[in-house]
Amino acid sequence: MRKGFDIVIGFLSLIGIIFFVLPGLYLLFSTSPVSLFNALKDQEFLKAVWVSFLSATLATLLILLLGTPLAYVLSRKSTPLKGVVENLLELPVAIPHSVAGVAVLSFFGKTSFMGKFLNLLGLEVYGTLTGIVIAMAFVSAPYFIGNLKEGLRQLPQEYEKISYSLGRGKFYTFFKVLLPMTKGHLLKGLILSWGRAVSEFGAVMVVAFFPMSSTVFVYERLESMGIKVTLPYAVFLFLITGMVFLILRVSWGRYAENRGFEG
Amino acid sequence: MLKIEDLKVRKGDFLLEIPEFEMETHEMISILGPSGSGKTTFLEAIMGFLKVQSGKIYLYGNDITHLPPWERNIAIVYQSPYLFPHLTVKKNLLFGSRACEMFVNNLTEKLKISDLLERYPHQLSAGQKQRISIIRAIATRPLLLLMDEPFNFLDPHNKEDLRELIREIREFFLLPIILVTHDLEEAIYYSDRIGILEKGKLKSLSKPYDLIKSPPDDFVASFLGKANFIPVEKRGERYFANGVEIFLPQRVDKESFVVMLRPQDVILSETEPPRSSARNHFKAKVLDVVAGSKVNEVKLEAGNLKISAYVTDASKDELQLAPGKEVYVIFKATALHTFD
Repeated sequence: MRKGFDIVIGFLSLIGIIFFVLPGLYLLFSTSPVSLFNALKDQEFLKAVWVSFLSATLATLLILLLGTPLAYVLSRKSTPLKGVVENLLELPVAIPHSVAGVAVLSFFGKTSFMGKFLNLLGLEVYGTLTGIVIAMAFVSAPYFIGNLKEGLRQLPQEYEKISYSLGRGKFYTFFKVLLPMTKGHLLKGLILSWGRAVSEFGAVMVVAFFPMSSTVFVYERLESMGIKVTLPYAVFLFLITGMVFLILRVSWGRYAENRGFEG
Repeated sequence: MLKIEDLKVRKGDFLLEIPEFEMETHEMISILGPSGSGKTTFLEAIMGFLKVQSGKIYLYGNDITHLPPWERNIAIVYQSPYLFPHLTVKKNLLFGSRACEMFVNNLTEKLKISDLLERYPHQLSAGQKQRISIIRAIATRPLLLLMDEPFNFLDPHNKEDLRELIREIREFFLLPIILVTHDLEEAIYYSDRIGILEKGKLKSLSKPYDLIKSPPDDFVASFLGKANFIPVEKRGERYFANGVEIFLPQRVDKESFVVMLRPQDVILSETEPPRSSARNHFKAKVLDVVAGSKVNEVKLEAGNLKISAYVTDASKDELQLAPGKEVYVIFKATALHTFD
């Protein structure tokens, strides 16, 4: 019996690897170093990569600024509306990303109330970097908020109380106790959000075809010139985003390993 | 020093009521109660972690009822040490807003923890952690220290160490302390007075001797169940427990106090014992014999003094122990625990 189980599990795992791992690896070997090098000389492509990385980083900072207090409130206060807010916040994970883009566009677009407000600040959403940043933040915020919220929830509230009893107020306690003690969750949330933001296509495409981000660029090349021309760009993007993501993941893992929570 | 008037605090469905509570400077008070009686709620109300429904809390004459916790200058130590894991011991000790380097250095030297300063909490033993957490609370120079069952998770050896630490702290800093516990022995050991908390109500606040001598009700008496807590009065150089003279292992310089005698240290005999090293023996009447899973508990009375003794089934049969029977109660002076 045990042997049968092992065979079934092993076989399905193998198929799993074929489906989930090999396409990525296959992509890596489907182009030549020369064409990869040529892709690097394409100014338009480099600009698209810059747009993607810049807007993903800005989106992550925006999430950090607005998501941190939100995660704290959701982890600490219990209000009747909390459950509703929590579910709504997680929605962008599930809804089609083009729909998310439409939502961002209609809410922040020129004719909407928020759009008019942004206009006063000199900001516009449609066809701008601002729009890309907001769209990216919208779809990737749940990853950050969810992670930090979980970290804060796992932290016994006695730590805060001890800090208060030692004469430290709420701001000091938040920055010197809560955030350092949930650093692992915070970093993981930031990495996941950044990874999600930089790879976003649907919402970005709806909000801004130009300035062209790398994901839109790949799509545009594929549509106009076919897969052969597109492959080197795709491989390059795969390599660079994959590498950044892996570096962040590994350094986070090291960090989390070095610091265990102790009562 | 600390004064509470008509305090009502709600925590979910639970209501804590403290009609009256007053504490002197340098005093140590234990609050005794079973779990769920509101002991922690009591401390958290004093800390300001819970919203007060009605009533007042004064600290040295100042109304602190609505002051945020960080402005009260009251420190708290919990069951678990809750040292900040991302900070070294030294930084933990310096965390408090009123902690200064000079005072902390002094403290660490006096309490012999200088060699631990550069370590992180995960590099400390359980006993060391709790020790540091208590010192961290002291380092912020509080007006009052609250302790929520701080010895609960410690082994006897570490408990002994911490008892010593608390004794030293009281000696050096003359700091008033409120200790919450469910352990009567601990309460008697530490306290100038003991408060009894039942279902959110503070029932009595009295000296250990008075509490043991005349427990306010059955509930309090049930706390006394497992060991014999005996009220002792000193008359000249002799000691009397509810009228029965007893011999103690050493001189005690108090008018009235409490000693503890474990039921397993009590010997029962049908005949008057010959001269032996057991200094205490007197006649007593069996009130009741309660069969337990391992041993039988014999409840006895000598004059006004009530004592419990454990005996095996064999002893019970041989001595024919039953209500009304008269036997000799025998125990050594060294079996009496004097809490000094």
